Amino acid sequence: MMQEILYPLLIPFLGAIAIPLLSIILRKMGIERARDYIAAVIALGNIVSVVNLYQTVSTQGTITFYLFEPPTGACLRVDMLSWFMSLVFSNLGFLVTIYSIAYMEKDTGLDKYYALLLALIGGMNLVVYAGDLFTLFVAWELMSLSSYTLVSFRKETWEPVEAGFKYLIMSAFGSATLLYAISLLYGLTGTLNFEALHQALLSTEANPSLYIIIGMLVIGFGVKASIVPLHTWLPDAHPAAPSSISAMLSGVVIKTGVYGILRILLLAFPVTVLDYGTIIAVFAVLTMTVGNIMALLQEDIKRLLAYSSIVNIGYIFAGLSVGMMNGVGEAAATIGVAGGLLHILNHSIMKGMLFLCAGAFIHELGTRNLDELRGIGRKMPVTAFCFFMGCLAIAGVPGLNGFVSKFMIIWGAVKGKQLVLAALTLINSAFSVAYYLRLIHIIIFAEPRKEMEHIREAPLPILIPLVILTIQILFIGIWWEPAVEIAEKAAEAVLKM
Amino acid sequence: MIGLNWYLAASAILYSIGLYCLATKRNLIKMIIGVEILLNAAHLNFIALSTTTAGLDPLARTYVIVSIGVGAGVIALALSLTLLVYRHYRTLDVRKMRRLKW
Amino acid sequence: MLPLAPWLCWGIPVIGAILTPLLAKINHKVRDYGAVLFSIVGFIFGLSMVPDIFAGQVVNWFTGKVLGSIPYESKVVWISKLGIEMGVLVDPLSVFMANIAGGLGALIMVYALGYMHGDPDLTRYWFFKNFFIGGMVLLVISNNFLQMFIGWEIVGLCSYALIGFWHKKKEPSPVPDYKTEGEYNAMCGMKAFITTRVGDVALLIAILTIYASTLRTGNPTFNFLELREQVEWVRLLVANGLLIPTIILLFGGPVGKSAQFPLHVWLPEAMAGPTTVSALIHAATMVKAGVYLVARVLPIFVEVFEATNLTNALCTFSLVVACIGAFTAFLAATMGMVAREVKKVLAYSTISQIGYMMLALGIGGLTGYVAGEIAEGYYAGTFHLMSHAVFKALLFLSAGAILHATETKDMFEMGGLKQYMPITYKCMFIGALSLAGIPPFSGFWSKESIFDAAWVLAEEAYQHGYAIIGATGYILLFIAVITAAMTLFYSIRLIAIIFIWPESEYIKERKRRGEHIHEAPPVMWVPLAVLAAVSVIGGLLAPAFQVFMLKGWERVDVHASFEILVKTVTSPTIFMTLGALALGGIPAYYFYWSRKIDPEEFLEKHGFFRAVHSFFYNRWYINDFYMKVIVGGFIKLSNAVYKFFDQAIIDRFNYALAWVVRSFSQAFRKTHTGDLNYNMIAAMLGIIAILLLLLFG
Repeated sequence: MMQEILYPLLIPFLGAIAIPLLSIILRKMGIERARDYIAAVIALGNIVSVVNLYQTVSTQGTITFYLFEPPTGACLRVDMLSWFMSLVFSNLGFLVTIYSIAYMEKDTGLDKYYALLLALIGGMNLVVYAGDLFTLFVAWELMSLSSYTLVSFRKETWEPVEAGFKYLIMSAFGSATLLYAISLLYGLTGTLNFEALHQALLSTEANPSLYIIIGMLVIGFGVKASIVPLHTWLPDAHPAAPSSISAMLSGVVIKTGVYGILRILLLAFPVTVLDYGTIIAVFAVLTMTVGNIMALLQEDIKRLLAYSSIVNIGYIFAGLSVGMMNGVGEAAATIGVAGGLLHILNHSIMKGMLFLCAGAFIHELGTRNLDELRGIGRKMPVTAFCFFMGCLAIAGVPGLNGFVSKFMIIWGAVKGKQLVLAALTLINSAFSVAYYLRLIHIIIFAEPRKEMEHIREAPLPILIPLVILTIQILFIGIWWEPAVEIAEKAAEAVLKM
Repeated sequence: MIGLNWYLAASAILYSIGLYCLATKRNLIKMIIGVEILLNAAHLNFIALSTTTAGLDPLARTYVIVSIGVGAGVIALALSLTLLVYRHYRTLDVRKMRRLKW
Repeated sequence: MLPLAPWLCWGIPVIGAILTPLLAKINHKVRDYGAVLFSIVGFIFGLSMVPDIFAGQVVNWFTGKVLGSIPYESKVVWISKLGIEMGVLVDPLSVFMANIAGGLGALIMVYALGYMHGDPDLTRYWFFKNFFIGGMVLLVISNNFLQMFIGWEIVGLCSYALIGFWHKKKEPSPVPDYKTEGEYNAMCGMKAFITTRVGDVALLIAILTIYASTLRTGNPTFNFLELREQVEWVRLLVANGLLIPTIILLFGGPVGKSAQFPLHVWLPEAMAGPTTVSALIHAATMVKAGVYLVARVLPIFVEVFEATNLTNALCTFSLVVACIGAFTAFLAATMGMVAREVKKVLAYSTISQIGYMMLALGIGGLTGYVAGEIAEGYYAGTFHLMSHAVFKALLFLSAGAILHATETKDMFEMGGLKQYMPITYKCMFIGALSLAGIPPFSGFWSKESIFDAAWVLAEEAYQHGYAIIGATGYILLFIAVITAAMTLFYSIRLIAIIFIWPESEYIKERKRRGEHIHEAPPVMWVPLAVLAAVSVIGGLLAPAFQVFMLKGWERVDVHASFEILVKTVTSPTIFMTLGALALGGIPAYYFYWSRKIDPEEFLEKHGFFRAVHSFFYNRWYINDFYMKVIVGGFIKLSNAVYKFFDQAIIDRFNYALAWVVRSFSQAFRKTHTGDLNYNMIAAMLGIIAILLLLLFG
């Protein structure tokens, strides 16, 4: 039954190859639009294959699958954390594909769009399923290439091009740094396989070269995860992309960086010897603070949301850093990391939804400026309601999902006696409410402008993902036990490697 | 015979040059070259570190070859974006390319 | 029972409430009948649980599977670590209350079809009405405090919304402080909401204190059955000296919700709502929530206090309940004797009768303390609850029919209605007799059983050597009997003034204008007739009710027989009752029915009675005291705080803070230049920083 773990990779990748070919045939038949639905079906198949994997992963713990002969060949390795991450990716990936059916209908070159979108989902799945560093790197580049292209998909205007180029340069720098760190790690241990790396570094001594490797890994993954001061590409790239892609980028793609840092650091560098948790915590706090300050005065709805993604990356790292500290205790580490992981899921839902809502507004009105969007929520009640729930959830209102994970993060920090970290996270969280309320006020409560009379509710393929995401927000917010349980299992999988 | 440390030093210097290039060069093409230098620093490191007294580890070579291939893809994309930038901005000066800020 | 009955009996009305705005989109007929249908279906599900109680085990009628014995729980765990769950409890008390709420709810919904016909805001009405029924049934059928509290708040909200239902009315206000009647109605809703909220906060504190102590013992729970099983939380509360404050605060909720002294002031104002609302919410069901809660916790307290040898606490609690109940019964009856509006008389009598129920439960608890058996008082209280729910709903609905026909609230503007509205007259007369406790109507049996319970308490107390409690028992009995006399007095006064007295100027004026007074339509009088019939035969249900109510109680052995009726009639207190009826009935007859003495002249002549009348009419000045001292003082205090603290300090600080943050943010944004070179330099600084931190940090 090992082949099961190939399905989440094969389905999107083969789909990505098949879509352009299929669309040639479909174009001949005059039903080109069928391609969009086929892409959605493929994305759905991806979710099914991921969910299908749960039984195996939860019973066997870790599945290792060698693509070439062991022990050196490229391999896949799936544990609870990988599964959890791929679930996050597939969930949003599927909804974004549905959303694109209506959102992208006026664009051209959609066969490339869907191929890239599926390749992006597959690439992310491969990143988290990789069992050795080099497979991870190749998957990383695959995912990155898709995302660069998707950011500058609407290349007829200047903005996506500029943003895409900046994104590419920064990200390529990150990848190169990552590769450099991988090469050093290889030189140190002679292997790149996760298990072997773990064994090799289990009883290591603290020495400067290890610190340099840690630093370069954090930088390499950190560019993707947009840790301050490596975040500068994000507020350009995320708003410039089509909103569906913004949702993917902010919702899930940046989380691959988080996954990388969490996985590789905890895997290769024993916390008991090298205490790097504090550094991550420092960067976490820096990230959320800078993000908050920058988000406060934004005039562009998507740029504001992009900065808020940076803030949330800060929260996630705050949770994860508790697990990377020496001597915080097992319980605190589990809660902190589980909180961070749950926030990955929650943030993918909330931010994905906010971007999709913003996209719906933009789709109807054609502007991203908050002044011009004033009061649009009254014309689009369903979208506005979803947007409202998303804002409340991300602001951390109890009863919605954002509260649960933020609470776990702060609770983990408190339990690990990192009171400063907990306090700073709490303050930042409170501060961020300011601009979410501003968003709610502008979009929903302000009087609509005259130009908005012709605005109607968004079409169904846009509304369906929004409603599904709202239900997820409420579901996790009210009955969080299953989600917390899975996040805790994932945290244990990575902590007790 | 040149010792391992020399190679490592060389790749570190290459890495620094790449960074310097990215931080100071205004021309987009030059920045792309900077990225390429960075990648090659890592490749050199791989090859240097795979050399042991027993000989070369074939695995590292595979890695490097694959990585060069992947890198080429990235660079190609970067160059095509450069073309688009030139169409929109009529210049390749990166400092003119700052309409997205704050 | 029908499958999932304990969930659906409140779920269906709630769903009905949510669907009402959607049904309203189709047309108003669908909306009206749909709303009524939802409440009826909900009631059917509630009713289907009754046979299970009699059988002692819960059976799914469709599959024939036995689900469990009484008390039967069905629950979904929400947060297992914190013991928070959603669940329903099927036991005699919950099923009884659910049927009172669902049954009367459905009946009054039918009545409202006629009464509210043509109102422009009916969508809102049906929504809140169904939501109320759902909330009330949820309240009584919950298996834990938390969920019960949710229901408790839902009914509070609906009560607020429905009292102020006619907030758009433009007629002049009945009291001078407000511009329009709508404004006055809105104020009444607010008064009800805020006054009950005082009690709710006390209740919430008590619930959370109990929960916190269970949390500290390691078995966090809100569950009634679990609280009964584990007793550690009581020991913990005692160790912290919190037991007595907690149980007294717990009683705060019932005091507010059931309008007991000192929080009784809201109920008369609550009569500003439509009469159907007054009948359902402020007479039959919501105000009984307090009685329900006391009846719910009393057996729990008996068990846990006995297990921990803390029966003194039980004594304190019961004494408080009984004394407040008795005093409220007396207090409200005095006000009821002099009120001028039909619905206010009924409101005072509601307060008074709920006082009786509290008294009965308190007596039950005291008997439990002296003799280890609470069944007698418990049964009396719940039985009175049932009979009162029926006859008070009957009285209100009759009053509604009269108000509907005459369009006035003041009963001195009515008179002579007997000839115009014969059916309403008969029904209301039966209701009044039942209220007054005239044999053989249901009110007689239930009230008599309360007196009997008080008598038994006093006897038992002396037997077991508790002289003070014995004396207290006699005093309570005395107050109860005096109150019964007053009850008969105002019942006769009510009926006589409305129906027997000659037509008032107002009625004549209306007739001159050609507005004749008609009997209510069948959709309104059929519910009246149903309720009247139940009021007549209610007493005979006592044996069955006793079997039902005490099912599953281990210490008492009950079997259906008419012994209980015989016992009631042959109790020594029967003479007291008859004496009291004479005491109240004879003056009332002379003053109002035969009109041998004119009450106005009588008051003119006797200065003492004039003073008493004025004292009662001004509601013992309690209301004025609250308004002036508490409300006025609070407003003054908050104005001062607003002026000298909020405006002077907080506002300025906030503006300064906002300015600082804004300017800082504005300045900080300049660091994001958008220049790729600078971005790379920032990244390089990041690398350097992280390496430095790692190597030397």
